[in-house]
Amino acid sequence: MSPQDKTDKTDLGAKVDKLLGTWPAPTLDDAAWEERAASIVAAAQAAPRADDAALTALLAPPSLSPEAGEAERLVASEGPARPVLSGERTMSQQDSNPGSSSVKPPESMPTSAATSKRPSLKELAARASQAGASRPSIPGPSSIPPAAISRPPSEVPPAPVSRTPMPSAPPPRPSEAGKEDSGVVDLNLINKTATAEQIAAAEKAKPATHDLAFEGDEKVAAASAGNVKNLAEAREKKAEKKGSGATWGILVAVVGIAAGVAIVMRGQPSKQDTTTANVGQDKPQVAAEAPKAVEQKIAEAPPPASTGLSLDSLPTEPSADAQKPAQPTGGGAATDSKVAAATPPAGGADTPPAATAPAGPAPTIGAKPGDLAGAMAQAVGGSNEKNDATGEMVPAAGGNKGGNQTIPEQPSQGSVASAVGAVMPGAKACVAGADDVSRAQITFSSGGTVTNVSVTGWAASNGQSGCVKGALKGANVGAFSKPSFTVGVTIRP
Amino acid sequence: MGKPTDRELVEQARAGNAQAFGTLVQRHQRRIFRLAFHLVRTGAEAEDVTQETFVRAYQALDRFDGRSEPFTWLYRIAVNLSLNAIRARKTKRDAVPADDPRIEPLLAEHRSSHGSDPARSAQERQLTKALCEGIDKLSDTLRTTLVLVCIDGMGHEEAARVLDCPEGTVAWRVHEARRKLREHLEKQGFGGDAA
Repeated sequence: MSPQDKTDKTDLGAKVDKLLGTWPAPTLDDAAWEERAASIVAAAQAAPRADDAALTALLAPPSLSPEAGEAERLVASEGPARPVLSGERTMSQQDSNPGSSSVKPPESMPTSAATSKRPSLKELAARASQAGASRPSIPGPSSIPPAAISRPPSEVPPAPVSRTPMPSAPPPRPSEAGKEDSGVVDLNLINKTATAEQIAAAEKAKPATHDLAFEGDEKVAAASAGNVKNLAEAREKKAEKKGSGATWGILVAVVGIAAGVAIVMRGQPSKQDTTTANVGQDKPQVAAEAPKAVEQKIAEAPPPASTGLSLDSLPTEPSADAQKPAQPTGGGAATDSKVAAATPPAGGADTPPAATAPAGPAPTIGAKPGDLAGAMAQAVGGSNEKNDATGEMVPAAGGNKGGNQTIPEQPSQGSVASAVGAVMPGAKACVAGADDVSRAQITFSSGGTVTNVSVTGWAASNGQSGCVKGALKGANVGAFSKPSFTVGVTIRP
Repeated sequence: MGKPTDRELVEQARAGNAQAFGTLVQRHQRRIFRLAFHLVRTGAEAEDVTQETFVRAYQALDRFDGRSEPFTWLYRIAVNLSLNAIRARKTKRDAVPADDPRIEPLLAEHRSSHGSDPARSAQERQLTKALCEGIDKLSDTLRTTLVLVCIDGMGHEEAARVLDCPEGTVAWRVHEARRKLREHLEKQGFGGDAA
């Protein structure tokens, strides 16, 4: 692209901006506007109360589908908006790699290349260094905003707040002037054209990369080398300090763990006593004997049986029962602690605890102590009730008694649109030749059928309301759970 | 005593003062109409949208929570109604007619700048028609954002509040819409000489 082409492009952009910014709508005189305002106020006061859902939908943000490439831009720029990055990305997608299109361009307009090429680390580093060198906080003569760097002037997106059309173009950088922008930044060229202040500022911002540039500036290089050396020394000292600190930390942790173990070991018997006392008067003796029984019977226990297991016959947590004998969970299976302790965990089939358990605390759920379904229902908050007919557990709360989970609260926009669209030709036929629009309020019952249609406008004033009502009554939006749903439609001739 | 602010008018209207609401309508109906006109592209529909915007706003006065300016709130309703009107159309217009209502106001606006040169006028008309075509070919998302920012002159921050998206997204959409418009105009032969 020649400079002339670029100028033409810029001129066209400026022209478009000018046209867009001064594009009026058809105007009326002041009296007409006032008359219109009065009619609007009258209509607002006379209008029937709109459906809450419709109002909510209108007050909600417009549902605009994101453009292709917009999602990537949002991912790339978290937080506040950064039009700079978005513009750069688009430009690089468009210009640098037109062949590799992995994102479908928007169908609305043909684009040369709406690709989704991810910028390489090299590109990112180049952009970061450029942005850093031109930041206002760093002294430098460049007045070009970061947004303008590495892009052709015509591609610069508008500033975040712009009441007036975009400025057409900042002057091109010397390193890029006269060249077609390929989206690739030539670092060598930029280094050559950079001013001393920019170099100093960039060096200050990135001391660790001193060896990448600025070959001619010995002072800066020496200062940077010194900085790097100091940094290395400081890191070594920090590492040493960190190493000794870690050793002390490990020692303290070991002592702490040992102390904790000792405290736990000492506190265990008293804890068990406390648990037993809390549980109640049912089996205090058994509870006290349980730990001993465990110790005695484990040695005598037969080897675990490898077959004969079933869910129903499994004791519920036998080892836990032995250690916490007074816990009611498990349907009192551990009340006979000797039997329970003698039963190996995997061999519960031989001596099912439920069968041998005397009357203890009532099981919380289900008749069988090993009822897995009951236990699961309890875990999710189920009630103790059972469905008489099926034997299934009844959910404690949130159950849908009607079983109509698929019925929406109100018809969707799509179903309303399709239902109304299906009968609209008939309604339009009623107002053919009209010189004004007609409006209708259609009320649907929960079954989805039309229960009422009120017609206003041309059709009402010209005796066509019956025809329109007849046409619109055929609409059906499908069942919904609300008692009724009203939607307004405009019928244009 | 100065003019009441929009917020004060909303408060008064909420308390039942219809005159306050009328003042609000008079204050904003032109901009709302202009926005709707550029979105729905016909004067009659734009009038409907404008009236409906204020009627719905009146019904929803008690829902105005004051977090944004009343004008932003009105704009959002207008944009939603305009989009509904556009989507309700059964057929999509493929070509811009020569008597497109958007063309004449723009030509009239710029007529004074180049006098009565017939050749220039014809060129301007062609450019405007091509511009309308380019705008119509944009997606709803890009066109809405372009109309809000470039035609209506709304700031990115305000447009972001209306559309409920980040400012960066607004800037990106505007940039993208302008780029596509330029591409379309270049394809139509409006290079540098046309400008």
